[in-house]
Amino acid sequence: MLILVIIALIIIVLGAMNWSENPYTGLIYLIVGVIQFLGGILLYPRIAKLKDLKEIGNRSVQLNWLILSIGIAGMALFMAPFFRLESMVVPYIAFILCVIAVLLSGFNIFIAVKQTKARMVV
Amino acid sequence: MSNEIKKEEWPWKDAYGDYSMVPVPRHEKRSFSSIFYVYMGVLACIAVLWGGGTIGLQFSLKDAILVAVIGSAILAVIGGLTAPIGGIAGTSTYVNMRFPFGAIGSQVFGTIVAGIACGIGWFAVQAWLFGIIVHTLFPTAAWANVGVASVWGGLLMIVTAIIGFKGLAWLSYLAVPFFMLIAGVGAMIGISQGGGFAGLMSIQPQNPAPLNVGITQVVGMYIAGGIITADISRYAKRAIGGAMGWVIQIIVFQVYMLTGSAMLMLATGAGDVAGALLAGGAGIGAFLMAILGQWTTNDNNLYNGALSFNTWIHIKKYWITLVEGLIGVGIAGWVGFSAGVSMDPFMKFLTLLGKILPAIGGVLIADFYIYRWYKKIPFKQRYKGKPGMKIALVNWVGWISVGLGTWIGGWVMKWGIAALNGLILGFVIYIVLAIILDAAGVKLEVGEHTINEKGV
Repeated sequence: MLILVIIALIIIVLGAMNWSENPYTGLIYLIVGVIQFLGGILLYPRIAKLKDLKEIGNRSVQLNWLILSIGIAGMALFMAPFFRLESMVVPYIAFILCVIAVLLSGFNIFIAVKQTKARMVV
Repeated sequence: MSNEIKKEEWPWKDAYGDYSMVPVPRHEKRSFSSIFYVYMGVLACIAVLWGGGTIGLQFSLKDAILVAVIGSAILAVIGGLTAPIGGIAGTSTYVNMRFPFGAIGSQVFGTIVAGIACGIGWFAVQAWLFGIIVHTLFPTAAWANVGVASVWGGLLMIVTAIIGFKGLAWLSYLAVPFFMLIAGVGAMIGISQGGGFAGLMSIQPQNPAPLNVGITQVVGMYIAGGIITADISRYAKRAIGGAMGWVIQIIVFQVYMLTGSAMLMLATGAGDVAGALLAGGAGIGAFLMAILGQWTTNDNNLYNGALSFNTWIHIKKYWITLVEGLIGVGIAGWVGFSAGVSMDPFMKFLTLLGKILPAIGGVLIADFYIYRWYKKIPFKQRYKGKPGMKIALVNWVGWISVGLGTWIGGWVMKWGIAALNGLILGFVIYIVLAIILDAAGVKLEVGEHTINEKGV
């Protein structure tokens, strides 16, 4: 989960860096990054007081779905012509970060369902 | 011993699955966030973006926002009142409808709302919208002609609804945040092409319409969902949870999605949302996701429609799904070949739903909140059935109230908002008739039906 939070922070930084060149690109990076960041960071307080393993798994599945789906949205939108930057290095980096976030959150869901018998769909 | 206690608390048998005919037991209840997310999954479909697009074609930005807010507020009130009914009774809309309409009435009105409006009507409309998206992506291909794509898209949706509904349910999950973002992208493209926010505010629509028409369209877009909120809220741990989930998604997220796509259409003046988004640079990847989301949402339409038909047509559900889907595909193909990408059939469909469905919601709300209060039934005991309980076959006052409310509100009254007129008339006519006739000793109910342990 920590890796997912770091990925989200990098996307936020990329968005802030490119705000001046294309504010819409900066904004979409910030939206994706902030939602992924909140999805990752909120897990800790939400499971802190829980003792039931299945309930912990359910919370984890819920937040990882959010990260996964917003990651797919990022993959679909970061390379779109409307959000293009002069150098395509940043969009490619952001795209790859989203791919990693999607894979990791998918893996988290799989582990939560497998090990804690959490519900796949909340 | 524990099993005996459970049997006492929950004396039902879930013979049809998903607690479709019986109350949801306590251990199956879900949290507020779960309920909210499911509502969001229903809201997040391409039709909402199209709905916003039609508003953008008819109103200035200021009026479009006003239309979106007022229409959504009406829906928030309707769903905010129907959702707690499901939370308290724990049963689906069709089971709840037995009380204001009788056992036969619940089948008839349940079929009108879920079977005809959702299962056939919305399925056909969304298959047609699918055809428009495919045509926008591949404008020169013969197989991507709007009518042709509507037919093969609809047929594929039928197949997945029959064989793979459960396997595809999670795909809707993936699409929710995506749809939220794409509405924001539409707004960004609109602001960018409209010369900034100030520029966008000054643009006037090419085909202006009166405010009440737009509000009726917004209400019509989701009125079926507003009436059947209990189907989801019956799973809520607390009765208020379902209402809160509904109100937040409508007031915050529906207004946002409608306004976003309205801004896009206003700025570009394009004929359809898909074309405007593609031309604006939203990218093909975005559309592939939209198609997937659309596909799974329409599976739901077919599935829910088949469930409601199944309450009175007792054959295997896949046969119902097949026939219902084929009728929908036929309509989608006909609209696709005759109207192409024109938004006219979509606007007419929304207006029609906004006229014919609200009175049903009005009667349901009036019966649960006012008539049961008048009969001194405690709030938490209302619509609570149990095996062996006798209910009416027909509650004729409910039928007459819906008929009069729909006819007067939708076709006779030439002022006001048709959707709101129908809702209020259904509500008022039912209360007045039910209370006066009850006080006069006239029986509101005809015939008798005994509920068995399967909830039938």
